[in-house]
Amino acid sequence: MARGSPTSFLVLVFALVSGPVVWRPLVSQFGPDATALTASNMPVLETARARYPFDPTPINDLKSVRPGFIVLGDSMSDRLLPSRLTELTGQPAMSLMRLATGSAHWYLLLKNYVVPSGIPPAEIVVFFRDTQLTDPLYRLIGRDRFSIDTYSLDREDELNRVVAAHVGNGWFRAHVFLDRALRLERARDWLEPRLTQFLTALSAGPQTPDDFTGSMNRMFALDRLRVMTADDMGAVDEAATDFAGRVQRSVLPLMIDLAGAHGHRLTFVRVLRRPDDAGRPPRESQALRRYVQALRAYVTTRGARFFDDREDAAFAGITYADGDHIADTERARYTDLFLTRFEASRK
Amino acid sequence: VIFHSLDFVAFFLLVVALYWRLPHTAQNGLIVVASYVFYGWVHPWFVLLVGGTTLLDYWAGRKMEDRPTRKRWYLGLSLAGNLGMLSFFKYFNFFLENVHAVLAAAGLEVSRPVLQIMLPVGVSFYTFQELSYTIDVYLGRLQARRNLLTFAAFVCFFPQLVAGPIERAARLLPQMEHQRHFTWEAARSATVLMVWGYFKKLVIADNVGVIANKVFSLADPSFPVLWAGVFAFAIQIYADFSAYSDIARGTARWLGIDLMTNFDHPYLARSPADFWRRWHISLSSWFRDYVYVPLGGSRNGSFITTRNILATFLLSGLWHGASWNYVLWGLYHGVLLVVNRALRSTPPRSAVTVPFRIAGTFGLTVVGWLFFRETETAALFRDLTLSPFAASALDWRAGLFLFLMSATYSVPIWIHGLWVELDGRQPEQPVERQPTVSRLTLEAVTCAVLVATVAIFRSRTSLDFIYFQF
Repeated sequence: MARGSPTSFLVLVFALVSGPVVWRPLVSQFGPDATALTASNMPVLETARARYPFDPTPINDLKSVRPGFIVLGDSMSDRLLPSRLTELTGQPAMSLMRLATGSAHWYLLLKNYVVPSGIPPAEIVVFFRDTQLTDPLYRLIGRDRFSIDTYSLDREDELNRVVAAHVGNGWFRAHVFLDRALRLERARDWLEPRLTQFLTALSAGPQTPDDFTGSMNRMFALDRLRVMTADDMGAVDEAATDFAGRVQRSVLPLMIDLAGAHGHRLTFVRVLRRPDDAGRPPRESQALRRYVQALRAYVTTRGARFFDDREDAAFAGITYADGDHIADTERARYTDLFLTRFEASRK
Repeated sequence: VIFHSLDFVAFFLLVVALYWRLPHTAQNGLIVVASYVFYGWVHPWFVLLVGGTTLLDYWAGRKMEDRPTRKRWYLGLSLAGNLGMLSFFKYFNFFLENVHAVLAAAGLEVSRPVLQIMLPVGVSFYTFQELSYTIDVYLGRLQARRNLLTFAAFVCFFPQLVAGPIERAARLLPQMEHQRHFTWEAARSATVLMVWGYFKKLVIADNVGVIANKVFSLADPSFPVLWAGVFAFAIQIYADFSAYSDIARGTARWLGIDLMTNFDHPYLARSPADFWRRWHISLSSWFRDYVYVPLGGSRNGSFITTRNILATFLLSGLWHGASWNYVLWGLYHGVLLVVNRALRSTPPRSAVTVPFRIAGTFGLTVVGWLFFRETETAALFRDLTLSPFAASALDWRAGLFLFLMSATYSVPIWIHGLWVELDGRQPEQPVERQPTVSRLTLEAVTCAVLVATVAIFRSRTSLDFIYFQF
């Protein structure tokens, strides 16, 4: 039996519930003009938001270079040196690497840059870590959603469908509902830059805020980071290793179909994550091993190549810089090793 | 299950809903089952560890009472079991590494076996809590418990199992044994604690933690950037750990259990000794009662006192982790306390000096956090030798920006601390007491603002609670 009067508790609960609700009229009144927002390319996540325009420059670059090799991926793909690959193969190589991205981004780069460029069939090499290929939400929600703007079209129905298959989760639906009802992301997108701009103005001194931001970005650039024993991505979530349950809710089939339809050949390279001081690769679970086997079978039966750097002892001798990134001085060596293996697979 | 996950919200609501429908004994049964689910959510084998030590200490406690002539043996078994487990999981590789380093220095190259040992979260916390029971039974301060279910509930109580507060058996066991009643006032005050905790974790700690992590990922930081990062870490670790304690206390209060206060605005401490009366109170008082005082405390002259202080803080540093930086951090605070004791004989200072003493103590504490955060010994010594004169103007501006960013996020902590201090340091109101209308209004409005701020400004980078690693 409950003791005491519930009045004060109910007053508190009312305040807790009504607090966030107050933001909605506040944002409507003082926030960004809703009519200035663009309809989202992934309506399953949000209805409208401020977006960066599509950048067609890489399409023209592809047309002029007409690469025989195209590299896709996040910072992991930086290990392959396009100039070295060009030198060794005699075919131009071009990187479409985008830092801090995931498989949804790589799919968009393929669909909206490579395919529209109309270049002859090329070898497209996709570098990935562990389960990234079947995790379309990775780097697609939250702050990272802005980075897809420059290479996504006004509507991305296929990707929207893939994402929708993930947001069926009750928790995610609740998140999206609250976000829409209370306009949380919009309030944040409105308030957060103002705080940053204010503090930048206080700190920038003689520099313009943009210059100061650029200086800060250079200060924290990848080549300024220390060698870390821990990788920069964290452990793989065991739930993410259910390949069969995830592949049809990923962009992997879309990438394979799209490349195949335009004569491009895909090569998926699973990078070796930073070995320990004794050169041993990091441990991986049985579940992840099974996942990789299933992934390999899936892509190779669909005509793509699959390399796992972890399986080749030669790659264990590579020196790493920070996290999972190899040292700059090792990129040429990595490219040589990659090409040796690639040529062997062609025979 | 972690507190800042939706899984926990569902888990907690389910437990509370069931809990108050059950009679007292069944409530304890639910606490045990729920705690084992909570603890074994990701790694079920963790439950074997907590279950195993529970059985050991329950048995050792009873045996100490049944066979008082051999109680020293049973205490030894309890200590060996708990500290042995802690040593294996936490210190085994550290020990091997250092033996290997010593042999290598002596010119003996031996291959070093490396065991991939996963440290079970919370093991440092619940082993200390259990030790408080067996030591108190041994010393005759506490009667051994004859009800295994109650004892198991005391050991594994999920709100504080993973990161404290480290409760004393004499305080928590009676609460497990007595009938508990749901009161609306306890529910209200518990909710306020939880809201404040979630705010500190999701808005302050996680946002400021991003800044600290960035700075400590730099290979060669400049003086101002480094110290801006250390300041950010100081805010992060307090917001993070005190948040956990607040959520734990709030969760426990919903179940009719009152956990001890673990933080008392430590950054407003007037001296290093005052800091340790306010920071991680459950651990510092544990070390005081079970290490410092048994060593002789301050009873045997200044030399022995100094030795006892340094030994206690060295062990406290080592408790935090198997790494030399934690040992240095402990020794640093030990030295601060020794100096603090030496200066205590000077005449009392006036109230005018209070802000300066607070600022000085905070500054010394921040320096200590560098030892705590920098796990690479070589980098630590490099950091300590950085010169402010070698920094460029851009470095200073970057440092200022990072400092302002962290300081902005930390404003609510300072306001709350100053409010409590200026309020005459009123002890927390008993949970049964009805708040005044003005207090309730203030509480409700503050909580509404906090929840709205969490909804909007929660960090997009969700970091684990720092003290999970200990």
